[in-house]
Amino acid sequence: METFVEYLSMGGYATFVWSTYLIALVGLAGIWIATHKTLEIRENQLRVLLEQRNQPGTIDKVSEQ
Amino acid sequence: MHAFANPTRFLRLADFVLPWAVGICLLSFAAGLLYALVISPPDYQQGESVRIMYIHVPSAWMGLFIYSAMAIASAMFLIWRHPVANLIARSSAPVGAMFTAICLVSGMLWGKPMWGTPWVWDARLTSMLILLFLYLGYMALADAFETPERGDKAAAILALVGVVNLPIIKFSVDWWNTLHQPSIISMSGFSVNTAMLAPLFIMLLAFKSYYITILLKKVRSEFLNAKLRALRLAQVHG
Repeated sequence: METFVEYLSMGGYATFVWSTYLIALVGLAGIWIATHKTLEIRENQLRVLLEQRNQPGTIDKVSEQ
Repeated sequence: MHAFANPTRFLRLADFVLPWAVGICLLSFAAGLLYALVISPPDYQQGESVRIMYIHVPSAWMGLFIYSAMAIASAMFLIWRHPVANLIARSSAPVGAMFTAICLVSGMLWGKPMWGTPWVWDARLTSMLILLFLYLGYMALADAFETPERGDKAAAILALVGVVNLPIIKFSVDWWNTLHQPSIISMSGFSVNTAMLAPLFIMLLAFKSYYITILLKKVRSEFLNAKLRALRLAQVHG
């Protein structure tokens, strides 16, 4: 246990080392998650739109409005 | 390369490459972090703070690499009007900006304990800060116009003009007196111990495959967006 705590302290540089890794991972993960979310949303929207198109009654209703 | 100006062909390539990129990214991150944080030795002078290098140096390399890719894509867009090239440039910018920001922040966190100061206005640090401003300027300029076409063109020109910054960054530590350490990779080899080279290059692989993953996802996302707009327009007009 003590060696693990010793390891975490990074020879006194704990703040600097762990902040670096945390900031890097949070930043990169943030972009990954945001990109993936946007892609998913657009894929779903496209699927819905294409399904609407393929169902005959629907487009007539849109133009009647 | 001109064959991939065709969007369908590019998307097919993207579909093939993406799962590999994701796999390599996750594996190399796992291996890289293990090496960087556990296996690699502390430095005889810098102690454990040398582990910051395994984030700082690869992200610096990525900042430069992505900007070069952006500039080449912008040139292809301006010369041949390939819309795929424009998408690649625009999708690369946020990732490049993030890597440059990570490089600057990790550099400050390394400089504080090692140099006694987080920042100094020397050539290397200042030119990297300018690189970050170029990325942010590119992203802002691309969206600043009424029509996306004008924004794309303006941003592409900015990307090309900013290329002059890249050799300045690269050679800054040779041309000027600087607090920053000189290059570790040169024509005569590496001036870094092998035990430290491994995590450096594994993290670089992780970052590179990360960039490819995000790029391909973003380009696909932009294609879907264009398709959505076209379909909605068609719906409105009956």
